[in-house]
Amino acid sequence: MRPKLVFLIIIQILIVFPGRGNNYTSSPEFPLVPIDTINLDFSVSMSKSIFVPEYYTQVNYYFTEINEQLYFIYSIDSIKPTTIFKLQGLLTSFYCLNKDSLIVNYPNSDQYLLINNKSEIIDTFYFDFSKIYGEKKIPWTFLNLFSNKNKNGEYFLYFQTTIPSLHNYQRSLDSRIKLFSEPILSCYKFSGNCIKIEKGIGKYPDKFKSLDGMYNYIYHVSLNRNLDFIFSFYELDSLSIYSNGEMKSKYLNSKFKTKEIKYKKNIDDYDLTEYEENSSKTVGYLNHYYDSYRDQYYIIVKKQYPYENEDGTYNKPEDAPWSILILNDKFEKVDEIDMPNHLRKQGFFIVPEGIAIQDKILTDQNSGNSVLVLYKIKNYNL
Amino acid sequence: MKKVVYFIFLAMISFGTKIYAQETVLEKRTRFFNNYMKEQFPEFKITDGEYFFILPGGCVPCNKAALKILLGNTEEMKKRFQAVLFSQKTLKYLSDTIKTLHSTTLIDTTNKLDRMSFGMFGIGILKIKDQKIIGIKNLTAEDYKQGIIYFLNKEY
Repeated sequence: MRPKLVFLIIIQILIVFPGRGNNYTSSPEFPLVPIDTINLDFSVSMSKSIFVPEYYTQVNYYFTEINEQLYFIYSIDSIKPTTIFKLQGLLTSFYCLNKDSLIVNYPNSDQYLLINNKSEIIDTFYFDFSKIYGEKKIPWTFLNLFSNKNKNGEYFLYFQTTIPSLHNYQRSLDSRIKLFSEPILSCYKFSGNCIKIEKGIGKYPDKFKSLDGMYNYIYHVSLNRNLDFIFSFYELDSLSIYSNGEMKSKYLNSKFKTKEIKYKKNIDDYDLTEYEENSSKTVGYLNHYYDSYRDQYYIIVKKQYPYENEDGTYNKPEDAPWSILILNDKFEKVDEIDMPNHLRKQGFFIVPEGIAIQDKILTDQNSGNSVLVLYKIKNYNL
Repeated sequence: MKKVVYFIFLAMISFGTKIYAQETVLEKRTRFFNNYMKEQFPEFKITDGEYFFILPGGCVPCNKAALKILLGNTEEMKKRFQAVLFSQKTLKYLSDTIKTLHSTTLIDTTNKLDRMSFGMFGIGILKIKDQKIIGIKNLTAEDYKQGIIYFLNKEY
């Protein structure tokens, strides 16, 4: 058989029988060194690791459910609880002032409950956000929430209030321009028993005001030691930094991202499977964290993955392969670590010793109660 | 002669590729569904009608609230649906009472159902005719706002 023909046949066979899906393991040279394992007696969800100016250190917070009872956990310099707030049920929004005070709002209620570290209701007040923002927009504090206390003991809360029902905004350029011309973050003052809007902070990148892209419009924010807000966006190769009243942009690039994100036209915003299938074909900046111990940033990069397997099963976005892109205090890229798939990118914590990441295999072996592996991480500014 | 044979062989492979590429999304999901049912519930005979699924994802509070309502109308559920399907894992986070939604509840003890690419999430309904999927719908937060009856009657 002529070599050219053999080559052609091999190419054809490869087209018809592509490689098996779900074969996306990370590089064997994983550079992070494990230093400890943290076994929790519960499962963590919706976790965040943020810098809190009041304590001038890192706080990890998350939700958990134990025997059908929901709790909000607040941990200073640790993952183990500093305070456990008992909740009455699922929340519409929450506003954590500090380790001793949490404001909660339950569905279908304008009532806000201020609860203390013993989970006692110490105050009740009313606030109707819809009067300010309209029915379609509600405060969204689950992704981005920061608090800062001034000398008078007043708290300033920073969170997102412009989460729209995408369906209503995706298709209309006018609506998009109107919506995304609002400040990207809002600051509210909490004093006595009242929440008042104080000011808007920063602005959305211009790409939000076009019909091209920004399908994944949710952004993530961190607050650093200089009290600058840093914004990252799934689709954009840049960070926005709000510092001293000005918005600056810094270039960001993952070594895994080789092309711009393009979504197919007329995507059904409500179809979760369509959304996930489209997202599987993209490399995006999923989330980011500021490490106040080492003054550096970790950008969670979601890589591409095969959506469907040959047996008809699909791979969930939470199992997508990922990497951590590390930026120093000047927002310069200093490293990118390819992460193994048994580590859960949604279970990411920062503690004085390093970074702790939930291990899916160990968690499964621990009856679903979260097990985190603590890795030493170097200070890239030294 | 050899060249002609190779050409025919290559053409056949190319043609096969084309046919595979032309399979519609519903045909592909039908293939996945039939294979899945054969593998997980070999005794169950797929008949024409609607199948009610409880899966992970979607608007979880809406799903929980919708199930509470449907648990009060199990007679309607039995009349309307051929079967209710969910996984063992779903049973863990929802109440055992979902077993009473229908006289034919198919519980996947392997939890493979939760990862099947049927185009469904949360509360979903599949409509089958002649062993083929002809409609898929999922309960969204927008549907729930308009009521569970709206969702049940909503067109595929």
